[in-house]
Amino acid sequence: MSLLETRNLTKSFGRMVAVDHVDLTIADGQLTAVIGPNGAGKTTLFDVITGRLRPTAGRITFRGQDITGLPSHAIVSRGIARSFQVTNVFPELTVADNFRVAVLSTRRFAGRHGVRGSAARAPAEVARLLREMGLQSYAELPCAVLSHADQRLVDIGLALAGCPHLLLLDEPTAGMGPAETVAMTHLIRHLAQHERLTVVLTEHDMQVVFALAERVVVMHQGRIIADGAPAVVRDDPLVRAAYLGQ
Amino acid sequence: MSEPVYRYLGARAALRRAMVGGVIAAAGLALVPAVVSPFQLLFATEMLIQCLFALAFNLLFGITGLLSFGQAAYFGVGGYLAALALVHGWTGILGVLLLSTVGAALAGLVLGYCCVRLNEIYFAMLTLAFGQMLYAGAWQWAEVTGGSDGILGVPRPPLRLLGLTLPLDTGLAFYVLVATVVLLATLFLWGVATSPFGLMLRAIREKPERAEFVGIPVHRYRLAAFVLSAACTGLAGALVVLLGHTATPEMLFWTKSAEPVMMSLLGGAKVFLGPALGVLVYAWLKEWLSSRLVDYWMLVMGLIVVGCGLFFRGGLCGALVVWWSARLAQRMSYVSTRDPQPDQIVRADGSS
Repeated sequence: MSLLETRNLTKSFGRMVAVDHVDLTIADGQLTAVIGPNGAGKTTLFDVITGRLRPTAGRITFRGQDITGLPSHAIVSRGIARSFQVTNVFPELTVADNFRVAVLSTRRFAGRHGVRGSAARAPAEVARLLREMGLQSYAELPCAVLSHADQRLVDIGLALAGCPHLLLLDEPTAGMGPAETVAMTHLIRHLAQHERLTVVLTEHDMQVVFALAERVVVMHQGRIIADGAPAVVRDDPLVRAAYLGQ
Repeated sequence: MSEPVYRYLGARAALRRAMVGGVIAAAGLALVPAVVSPFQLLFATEMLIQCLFALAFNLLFGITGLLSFGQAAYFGVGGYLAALALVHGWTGILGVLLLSTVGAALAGLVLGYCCVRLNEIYFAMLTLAFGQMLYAGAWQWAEVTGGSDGILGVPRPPLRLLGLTLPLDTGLAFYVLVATVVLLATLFLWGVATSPFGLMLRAIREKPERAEFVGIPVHRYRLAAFVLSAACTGLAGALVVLLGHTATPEMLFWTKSAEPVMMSLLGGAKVFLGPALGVLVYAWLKEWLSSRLVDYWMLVMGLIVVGCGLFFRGGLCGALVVWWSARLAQRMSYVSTRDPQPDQIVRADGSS
């Protein structure tokens, strides 16, 4: 079953076309990596899907509903969550409060619980996120003092708070050391397999991509130039040309 | 790090603190008339109203992260509504206070709707523009507002409550009314600030865009904060008119909007009662400076506020909180277990 579908999705800034007629179907439960050289349009694609940018043309369908042009908070509350390339947390709030904000806001609008129900469930949800991210011992520390890798975990925890159907991770291992990268890879695999989350990630680290992805989509100059199983994509001549130059 | 860190209290702890704080504050306020002269009591009444004004402003500034530079608009709307109602024969003082609160909230809803989409300097400029528009309106629409004179001779009717009629024409009686209203409104603002809604507002202050991406409708939440802030500001405006028996265009002037900004910066915008402390510090500084530097006191006051903004970001309360914070020591000892290399460990003080 397809979870997310984009048809003819286009975003241009003046004459620069950042996302060029992208047709992308994400199946339920599939772990997809979107790769491509810098400036290929990966982040712009995420921005358009999550309502941060309005598409110039095309449609986005999520779980059978048209979500094109909705504000971001409405898209999030329908079950699409994302993390950011630059770590994006609430620095002066404690780690627990970061999660509390996300739990209270997404639960309220997801319609799965009433307002009262959501408030009553919040402490258990916050505890679950702290446990899942391994951040229990830092729960009462302000986020600003955490290391980069730990802030990244808070960032992903914020995205997971609403129990999303689809998780978009924008370069989850950017700026991390080797050990942290391995830990993050394990975490993403755990989320995909045990939490039954559909994950789409962009990544520059090819080891991470080939360790995780069931499907690889290659973008170049705003277009999808290859799409398929990792082994097939790796040997695609077009992909090699895009990465290595003509 | 010189900023106090906010930690969500939860409903029970917030309620407990509100009750304890409310009782202590009520006892303190009840003591004031016993120890000060009648003239000083008048001054204390004025200070209390200023506190409400500053705390209402700070719901937007310190908690939601929106610098409103036109808070005088709602102060003035509340004040003029009270004055108009009273000179046209309203006699129920609680009804008048309610009218001012609701009227200012409605003004906040309309003007805030236009402002909350904007960020930072654009938000500040638009609120300033709306404030100055209302100021010009109060000048020009002389048939209703009295133009440059304002509305003079506003009566202060007695308070009718539960079949009792309590005259408010003594300084003491009016002080009791103001202290009660300000205390209740402050407890209300405390409730807002410590509720889950208040936590969302703080998240919006920190990172509006991230807040949107955890599912918070940022504009709607900002507008709600704007309306609540305007409502409490309007209430303060009505109390000032009752205190001075006049409503003047100066209530709407931009210098009035600047007062709560300076008070919050002096006292500390990120601590709930910071602006209230700022009111006292501001009043004391003004008194002390203006008695020594008759013409230049504003200049020195400005320099002090600039100094606060540059070097003393948390204000007085922020400095106190950090001083007392045992968490500071805890912060210093943070070491991530996910950082295996010692050279990647970053401690709170920035050393490695």
